[in-house]
Amino acid sequence: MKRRAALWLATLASVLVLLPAVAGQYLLSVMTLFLFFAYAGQAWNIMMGFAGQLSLGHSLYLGVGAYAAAALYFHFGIGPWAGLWLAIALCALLGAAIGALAFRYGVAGVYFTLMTIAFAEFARIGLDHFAWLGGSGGMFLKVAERDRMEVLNLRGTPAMFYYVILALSAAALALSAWLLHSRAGYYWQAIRENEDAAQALGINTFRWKMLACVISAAMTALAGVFSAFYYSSLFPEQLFSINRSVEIILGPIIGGVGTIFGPIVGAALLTVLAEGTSEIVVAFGWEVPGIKQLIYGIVLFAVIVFLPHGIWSALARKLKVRE
Amino acid sequence: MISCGGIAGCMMIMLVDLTPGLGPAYTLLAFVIVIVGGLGSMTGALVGGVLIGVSEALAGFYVTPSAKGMFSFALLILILLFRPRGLLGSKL
Repeated sequence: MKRRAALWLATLASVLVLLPAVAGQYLLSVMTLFLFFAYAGQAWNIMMGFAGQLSLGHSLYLGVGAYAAAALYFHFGIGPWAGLWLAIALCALLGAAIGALAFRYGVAGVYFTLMTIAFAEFARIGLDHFAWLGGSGGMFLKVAERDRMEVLNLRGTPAMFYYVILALSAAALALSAWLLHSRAGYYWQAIRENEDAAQALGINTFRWKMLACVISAAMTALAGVFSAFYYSSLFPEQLFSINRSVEIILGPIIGGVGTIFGPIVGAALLTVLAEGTSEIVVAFGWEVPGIKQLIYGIVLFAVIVFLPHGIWSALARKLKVRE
Repeated sequence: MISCGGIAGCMMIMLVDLTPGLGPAYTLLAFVIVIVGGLGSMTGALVGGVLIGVSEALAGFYVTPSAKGMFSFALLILILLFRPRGLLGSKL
């Protein structure tokens, strides 16, 4: 059983690693998008899936991470490999601050969720009026020539970005798998299932919830740094918007909240679905505006109605895979 | 409840421009108001609505209209810290 799973993982990994050698630009950009959402989804999954704290404001960490690294590069010429530490530190601090405020003052459940949204929206409107970071007009990083590699400044070919996000996703996968079966992971699951009971058993719920917040925020910061340098343009309306938070959490929800592979399976399905419907629409020659969104919405709806615990949870049961 | 929302929409449209993308911003605003007032409390929703509405109007007048949303979210965070279940929400 273990050997078969390892074989599957090794095959998948080698396909992903060798892909840029055969894939065209389009496929590579789709795969990059998929891995980006797989990574961000895994980061969110640690907070909601493992520790049971529903955050709908993860765009805050995405945006702060992106702006921190981009501002250092834009204003001071400091490359992203140094800037990402600032991004991580800022987001970890923010996560800790929000977590401490919420958990100390007893803000829980839907109130906690709205508080995370409030912080993200606050930051979005604030950055819209912050001229040093470009305001609502956006901030633009110098676009490098597509074929010139400048790994030190994270400027280069699409294949380089693909490998960066692939490495990040793989690292996140390893981290999630390790965390879920660590001491922290079992505490988190106890808190997720019944916080009062966990506390009664002597678990310091405040401390472990804080840890989940900080890890999740710090991981999302890296997704922000990646997106800043991949797209080379930053707008508060895009990075901090609540739609961005929803996009991040769709993958884990479709794939299976609280599982290790769920966020990846969910992100893969969503990306294939979004790109696939565009292809179908083109192939059939339907020129109805909004039909892509319609198909996308219907499939999502069907998945949620028929597989409420996520695709991966159902698949894992069928394949008798235990995480 | 839904019909109340419809009536609110009819009245709103005399004041703002209409686009299909109008919805989410107002959904969020309504959510903020209900949470500020306290989930499940009718009086709370009324109090929350007046509070958020007046503070946004004042912020729009004295600071900048485009930044008025910031103040309602700041208000929401502050109120949650002192009253984690909203102004008139019941203690669980």
